[in-house]
Amino acid sequence: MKLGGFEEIVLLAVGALGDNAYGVTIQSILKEKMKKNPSIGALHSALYRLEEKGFLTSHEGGATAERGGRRKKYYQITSGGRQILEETNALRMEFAKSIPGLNLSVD
Amino acid sequence: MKSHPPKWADRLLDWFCPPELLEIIRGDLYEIYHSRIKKRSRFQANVQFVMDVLSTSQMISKSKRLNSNKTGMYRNYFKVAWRNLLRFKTYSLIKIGGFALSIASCLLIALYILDEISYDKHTPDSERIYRLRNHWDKEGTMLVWPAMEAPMKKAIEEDNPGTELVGRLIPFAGWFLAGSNMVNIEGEERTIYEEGFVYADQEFIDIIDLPMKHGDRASALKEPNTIVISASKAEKYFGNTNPVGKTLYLNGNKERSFRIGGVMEDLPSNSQFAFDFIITLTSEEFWDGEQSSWCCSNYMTYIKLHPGRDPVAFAENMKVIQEKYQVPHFMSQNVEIAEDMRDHRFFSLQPLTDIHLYSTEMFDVFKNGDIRVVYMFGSVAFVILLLAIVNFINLSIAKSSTRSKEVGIRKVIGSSRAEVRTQFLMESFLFTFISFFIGLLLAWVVLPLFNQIAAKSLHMPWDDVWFLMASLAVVFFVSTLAGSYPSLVLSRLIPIETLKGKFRLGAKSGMLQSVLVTFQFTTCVVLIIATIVVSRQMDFILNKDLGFDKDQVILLRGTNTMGDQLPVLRDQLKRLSEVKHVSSSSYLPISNMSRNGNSFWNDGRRSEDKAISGQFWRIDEAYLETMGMKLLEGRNLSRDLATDSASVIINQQMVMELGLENPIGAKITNGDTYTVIGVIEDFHFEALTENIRPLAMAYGTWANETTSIRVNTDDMQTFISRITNEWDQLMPNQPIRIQFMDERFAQMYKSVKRTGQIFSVFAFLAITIAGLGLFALSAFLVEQRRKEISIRKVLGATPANLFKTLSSKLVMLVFISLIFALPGGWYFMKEWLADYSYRINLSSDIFLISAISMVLVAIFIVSFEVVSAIKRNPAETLHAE
Repeated sequence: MKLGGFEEIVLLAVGALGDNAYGVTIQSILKEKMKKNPSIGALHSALYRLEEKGFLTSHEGGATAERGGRRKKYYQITSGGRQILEETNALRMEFAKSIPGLNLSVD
Repeated sequence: MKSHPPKWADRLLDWFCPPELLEIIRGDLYEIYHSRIKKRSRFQANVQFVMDVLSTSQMISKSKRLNSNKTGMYRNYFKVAWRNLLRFKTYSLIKIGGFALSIASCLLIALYILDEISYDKHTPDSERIYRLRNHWDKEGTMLVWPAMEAPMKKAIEEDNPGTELVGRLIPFAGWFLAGSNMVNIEGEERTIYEEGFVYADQEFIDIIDLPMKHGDRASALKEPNTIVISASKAEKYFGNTNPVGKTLYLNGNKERSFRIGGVMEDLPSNSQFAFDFIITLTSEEFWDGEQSSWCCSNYMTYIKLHPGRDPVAFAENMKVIQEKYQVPHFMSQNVEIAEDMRDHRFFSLQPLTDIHLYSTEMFDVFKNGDIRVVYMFGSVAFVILLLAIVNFINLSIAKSSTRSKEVGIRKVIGSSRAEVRTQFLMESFLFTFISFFIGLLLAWVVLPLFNQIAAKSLHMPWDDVWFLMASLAVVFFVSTLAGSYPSLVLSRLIPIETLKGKFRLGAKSGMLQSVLVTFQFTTCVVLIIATIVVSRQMDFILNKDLGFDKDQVILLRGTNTMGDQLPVLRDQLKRLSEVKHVSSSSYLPISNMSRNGNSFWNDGRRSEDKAISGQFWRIDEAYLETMGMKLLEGRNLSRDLATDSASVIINQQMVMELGLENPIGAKITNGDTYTVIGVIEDFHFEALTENIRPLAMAYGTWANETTSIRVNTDDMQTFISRITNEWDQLMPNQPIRIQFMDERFAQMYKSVKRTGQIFSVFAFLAITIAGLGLFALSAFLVEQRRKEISIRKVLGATPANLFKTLSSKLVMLVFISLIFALPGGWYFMKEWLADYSYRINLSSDIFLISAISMVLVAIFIVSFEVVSAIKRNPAETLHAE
């Protein structure tokens, strides 16, 4: 199963948000960290794909007046999601080693 | 909530998002919208909302849409429609067959009409090209004719500004070399007969932008004695070589040669111009002073205006020319004519593209079409299509009983009315589409035959995108029209009733059915009446007593080239036992022969009386006997009396119009004075759409293009080989050209006959389509009453009783339709016959025959199903109860 670049970021964002990961919060954290504003359409289609691939699960709830009484869809990272993030990172590190002067270590 | 994002964008979201995510995404968008509206202006928030909505368009996933529930339903609709189509085979066959027939007919008629209205539209700048027309409007009679005087060209060039080009054309067969000639190529022995000669100016071919194969159009007719020939004739004489500069002779006249100035492409079939040889008018002068004389109108004059120039202003300006040239010309001869001209004659410009369809009221020589025929065929196509649609509606309603349970189940499971309606509309679309496809193939197969009947060269416009688009549009339109009412009726059914087995369509649709059937019967009766009247009128024309005897007359054409040999030929022919009379004259009582318009007065009354316009023919002493014309008073012309060079024979019409009390011995004049020595009975010398005109005939042997032979033989074949033999000895280089007078006569009515034939074919088709529909309808009506019939039978009804019960409704509808059809048919036919000066009476037997045959046909159609229903064993239908 492949993981696209934007999908990886979204997956990371969901993981980082913990229990409060739904469309609006994911968009705002991405905006904050990336200094770029991903469109809600792009975001949801990425989320949809990630869920289809089994990297995310979701549950619905938390309707508010602002949303016109509509429910939110909260996402949570699955073990498969964690695994793919680790695999992707391992691959990245392996390549990084062979590029002289590139420092990718996590502290 | 105070503020709301734009509704249309919100609705767009329904389209873009997968349904299961719709609520979530909309919630997100609203939440963002409201947080934005707090920070920024409402406008900005709205714009960003729209952007966000648009961004969700990437969520449209094809696989999801196709797998949606709706597609499944559509598939199901088609499946059910297809199964129904296969299950009721006769019914489907009639529905589709009728539709296919009607679509094929409509296609053919559409092609015909499109061809008719396409005439001359291919000419570049056709919107600026006109033909100049004369009008004469006096005492309620309006005459229109397109011929102008020779100097008109120069006058317009000088006195009517805004004119780009003026070009003249003489297409009148028999005018000097126009029409047909014997052609010799320089250096070759053979003499070949050719038709399609005209005279024209260089400017004329510039105006119509004649496409050339060889030579330069701009100079093809510039020099005197030049000629332009068509590509097919060039190939016939010169093969693939370029013949420009070669020389040819006409009618054995070596004194005058014509140099080929260019070869034109063959003129297209949808052009008013149909000729193969164009002789230049440059320096042509038919007699001394002809080109500058305002006496005679022999030139069709075509005008190309500068862009933006108003044709009405041009026509107004023509008054100046009339005042300057035409009025003074007549002033010197007859003041009254000159003044009449000033008051009653005016000009107009007829657009080039109108000439083909709008010239029936004029004296015109082109083989023109008729806008009334276009309308007639158009309405026939419309009626045929309407009949097929009516069939469709009627049959769908009749058959709805078999579908009512299905509708009930669908509704119980959750179909909405709209969905049921969609279903039946789609079914109608399916039927129409299949029919259309079959109809298209049918039209394609029948087209060669149709071309033959209609004398056209139509082809299917497969490569025309517009044609296909238009066809698809028609399919959609027709299927909607045909399907909307049945789908409405079916979608209205109440599930609980249909499932219980109760099925009632309600009085309204029964009423509609009756109205539609009455409409079909009415159309059929009108078409039957029309077919009878048209064929009777044709018979009448072809067999009318014409005042001469057209049978057993052989015409030898092209005898004008024989010179001294002609009297020899006549003498030798007279020696043959079969030959009764031989006469040479170019003037024959069939159209497309020599004609000349003359003005006649009683001698000495030239400046006082109004001129009588009539024909002035040249004949010989054997003419009357050869043609079988009847001398009422006086005597025939004689070759031996020297005084007979100033004698004439006139017809009764001439006697009447000149008001002669004692015609024999009276003197009449057309410039020269003649003494009347005989009066002949009126005979028809033009098509029977025209009245008999005044006619004078004088002695003259030079007009001898045709030699007519009256024969009395049963073995025409042998006789023809004998005269061919005689001919070949006298004229070894010119093949004999034989025509039969009765065939030439029939040719005069070819186009009328053709129109009649096409009409009859389509009328027959229309009646067939309606008949098929009625057949299927009656079958279903009987089917619905199957149990009733069985019970009646068990209770002792006789077959006659049953027949009456079952067929009475349809027969009653036939009678109702007669109320509309008979006066309607009478009216239409009266209008149609009004075009003929000699016509049949609309006698009552026509209507009686039509009415009776309709009733019989209706009973015949109904009886099929009724009889089988009566014969059926009641136990079969009732055993389930």
